[in-house]
Amino acid sequence: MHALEAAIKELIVDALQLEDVRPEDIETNEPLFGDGLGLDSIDALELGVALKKQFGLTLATNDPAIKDHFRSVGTLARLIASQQDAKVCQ
Amino acid sequence: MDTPIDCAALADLALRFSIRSWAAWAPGLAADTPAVEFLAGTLPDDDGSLPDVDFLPAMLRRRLGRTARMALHVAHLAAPEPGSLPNVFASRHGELRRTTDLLQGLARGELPSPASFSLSVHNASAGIHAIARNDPAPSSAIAAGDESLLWALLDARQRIEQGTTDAVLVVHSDDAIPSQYLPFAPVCNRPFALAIVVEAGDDIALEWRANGGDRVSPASLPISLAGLCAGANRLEWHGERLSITGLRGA
Repeated sequence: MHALEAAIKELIVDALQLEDVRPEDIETNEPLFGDGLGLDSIDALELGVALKKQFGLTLATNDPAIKDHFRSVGTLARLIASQQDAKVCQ
Repeated sequence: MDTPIDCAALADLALRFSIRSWAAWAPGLAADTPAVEFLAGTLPDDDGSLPDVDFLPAMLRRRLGRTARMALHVAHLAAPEPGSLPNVFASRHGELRRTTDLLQGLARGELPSPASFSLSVHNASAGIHAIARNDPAPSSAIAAGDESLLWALLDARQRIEQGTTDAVLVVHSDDAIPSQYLPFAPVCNRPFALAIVVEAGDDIALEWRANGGDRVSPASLPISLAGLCAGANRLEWHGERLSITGLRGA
């Protein structure tokens, strides 16, 4: 899980072109949007596309839990891990 | 794509305004570039450099392309003070490099970048400008071929005449167009941005008519007009459809 979290942090800095932030500066459980890292709604879309490209993440836009999944690096890592586990089971 | 302008209907139009402040940017352009060099279009070669936009918050400037950086840079130089200022952002090609990249990605079957798409629209620079200044002033974005700057100035002048504002910030920015479009490249295909804070007055008079000959000026209209801003007394510019005469202190 730690490696996955580190990979997500790196992806966030790269995909969102954060100039003044290093991957290790991002706290695993800090909020990504609003008061935390300060990302906006366009970043949310961009991050969704980047996660899909890199981790094959599938997102249903009508999923009411989507906001919770995108809350932090930790919640995203758990979502990706659960989808990867589900694929292995299939 | 180009709709022919009814030049006859526009033949009697002239535009008068005064310049409260102005600023220009091109790669390697010296601050004291003489007017004749603007008029002749003999500016330094493109070295690929980018103008400074450090006055913008990092989260706003991080994804800006060159055209937008150029526009916001000269806008800030011409109107650095905070406060409300109606504005017109003009560009012939807009974020063509970004649009081309998006289209090439689509052709390869890739998902387009939402962030890049949001900045590819023609009023993206105006939007960033408004957010950065926290300025709700009216704003337009204009694309009108090689005359884009003329119609932006006309828009500004009309708003001043309506009495809703005493000044309008006019910004024009174009990068060189991507190599895929070179067969369609204008005579003057070089990065250049110009910002003018326009106010009522008679410092500058522009008159235009249909370009009857096949003569096209070596410098784009924004570069030529920068010559007038820099102190030239007269400007003769021949574009693809119009010829424009500009006089200072007429």
